[in-house]
Amino acid sequence: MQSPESPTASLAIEAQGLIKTFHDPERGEVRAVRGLDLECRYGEIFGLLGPNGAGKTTTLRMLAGILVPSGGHAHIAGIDATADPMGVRQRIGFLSGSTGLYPRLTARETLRYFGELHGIPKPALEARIEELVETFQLQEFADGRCEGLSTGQRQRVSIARAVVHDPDVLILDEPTTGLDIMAASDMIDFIEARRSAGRCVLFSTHILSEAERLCDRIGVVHHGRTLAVGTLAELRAETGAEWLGDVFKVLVRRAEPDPTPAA
Amino acid sequence: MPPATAPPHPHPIQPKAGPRGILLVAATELRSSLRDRQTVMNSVVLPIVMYPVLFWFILQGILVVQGHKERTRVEVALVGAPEQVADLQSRLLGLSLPLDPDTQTTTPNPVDFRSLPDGPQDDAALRAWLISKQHPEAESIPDAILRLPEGPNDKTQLYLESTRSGSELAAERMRKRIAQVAEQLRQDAAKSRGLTPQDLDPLDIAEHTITTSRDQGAFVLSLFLPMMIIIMAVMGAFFPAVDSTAGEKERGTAETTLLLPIPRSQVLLGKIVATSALAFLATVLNLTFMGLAARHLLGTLGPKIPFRIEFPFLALLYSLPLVLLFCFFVSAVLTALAGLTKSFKEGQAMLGPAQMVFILPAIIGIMPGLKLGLGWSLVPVVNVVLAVRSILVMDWLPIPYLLTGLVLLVSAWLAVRLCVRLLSQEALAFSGSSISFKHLLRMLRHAKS
Repeated sequence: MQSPESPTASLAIEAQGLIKTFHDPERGEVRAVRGLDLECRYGEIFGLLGPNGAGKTTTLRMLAGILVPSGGHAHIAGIDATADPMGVRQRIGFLSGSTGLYPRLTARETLRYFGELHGIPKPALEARIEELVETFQLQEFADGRCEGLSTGQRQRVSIARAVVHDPDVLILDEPTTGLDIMAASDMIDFIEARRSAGRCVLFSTHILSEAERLCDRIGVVHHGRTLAVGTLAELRAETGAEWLGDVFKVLVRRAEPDPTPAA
Repeated sequence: MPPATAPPHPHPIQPKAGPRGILLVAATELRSSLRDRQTVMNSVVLPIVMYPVLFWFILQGILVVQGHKERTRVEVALVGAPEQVADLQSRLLGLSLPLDPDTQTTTPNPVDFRSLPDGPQDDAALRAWLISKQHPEAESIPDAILRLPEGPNDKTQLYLESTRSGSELAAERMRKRIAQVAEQLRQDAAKSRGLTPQDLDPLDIAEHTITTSRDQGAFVLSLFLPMMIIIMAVMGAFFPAVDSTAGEKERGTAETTLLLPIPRSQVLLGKIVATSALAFLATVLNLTFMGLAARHLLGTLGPKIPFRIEFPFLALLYSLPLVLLFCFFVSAVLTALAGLTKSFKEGQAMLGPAQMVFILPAIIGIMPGLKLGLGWSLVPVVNVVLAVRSILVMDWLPIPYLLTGLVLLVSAWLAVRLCVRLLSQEALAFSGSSISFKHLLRMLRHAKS
């Protein structure tokens, strides 16, 4: 639970030695995350970079209170994610490719459902819904069922759903994947707006140009571990590489030395 | 310089946990389910339409079959001594046929008699003639043959072929007519000896049942209606249970539900409440429209059935609290089971056989002679069937009824606990993996709800 004297209260996200293991019927015990460290501040955009299978999605799910960590600890807005995952869910907004919209509800009903469960008083909720409808330009389809929306329209409704309670921390798992140029651009504008509002945004991405443009700091993740964390300038200085792609390659090679023996 | 803490919120965060949260989840699930064509078809349309349509077809079928039967002409060959045959034929033709109670007209049921005084007399020849072999003196095969007795100790023989409906019909008509002729002969014989017909039947018994025809109807209904209620409730919970669990995984909204800011146990409870509500709705609609259709059907067939059946709406109303508890119990079990699957198809395949867990004990419950006592009150499903059965015949058994309610409540609570314990598992929350039985048992042992 959040406590004013918690040493992590000033950090939006703080994770140390985060571990997640799964039982797989075929492979046995699988360690998806193996001691990951992370610190994100309010008013900051933090990018999590890593290849497929690096443990990004599992990490984000643990930080969102969807999965319970197997080891280590994480505090979100000062709340212990292991002891109080529900408290975490009340403080964050989470969006990923697998957080679909309820197809038989309308956009407006979806926002009202989440808003009511978050305990927003009715008049304030209705005002907030109208604000979100306007911000994300949902007017034309806000009263139509979500099953009839296009991918871009769904993404806009999903973002509105994630921020209906104005969360302290927004966690996004590859938020621009599958979006067209306009929708992706709107998403980037939205992420920047959250930073301007003093909130923390943690997002994972494959798209290096997005990370370069948006992130105040970047964490490179590989095989469930943090390889490096810093601003783009710090990572460049550490690796001696100019482009983020090269930075990433250098860090991965350092973590996994070339297995072919020298001639 | 970024702020050290998050900017303040315009309103305090007080998530709607507890009963209000459960009801909100239930209301949203209900709204979503009632917008699903398959669920509406199963829970609303089918219960409203099925019984009226079914009963209409039954009624039309009965009327068509009965009309056809009454109009069908049958032919009976009379075989015996010429004077005997002539006498019987004249008596048969002189019988006054019974009046139809509805139309007050003579029931048709026509029988054509063909006398063959010189026809075959031996048993084998008559059998062969009736089956297929043409008799040299007959134009066609009769539907039945009546052979009159040759001596005073012989019996009158009626030959029929049971696999031919015409033959059965001819035999049925002949039995009635012969009984009437026999009665006439008895009365004539009594008169010639100076006796009254009562002298021939000194112990004439008049039966007096103290059961009203209405109670008799209630008793008949109590034999099958309770089992139908169980089937209605189970069928009503089937689709919503699969839709809210496996269906959610298939639609890609399982993770969205995991994000709801209330405890997962409450989210699941909300789903179970919604499933129960739909199961209860389906049961009530089924019963109501079955009752209305039955009332129409029985009104039409009224005089043709030996007892008066009134659909016991009031007794069913008294049964509703138990039915509601049963719906909750069934919904929790089916939701837990459907939650183990990862697609709608898998969910349906799982719940198909699982329905038998409820239907088989319900069949036990309708066995004649079983009565709700303290012992049976402790057996879930059987207790509901027996309780509803007792309520239908207006048996007042306060302690067994109370015990049945308590057992249902405890069973429902255990089923909810099982459901929450299972479906709170991360491995089940996401759609990717299939769960082995061994893994399932391990999860149940180590689960934290």
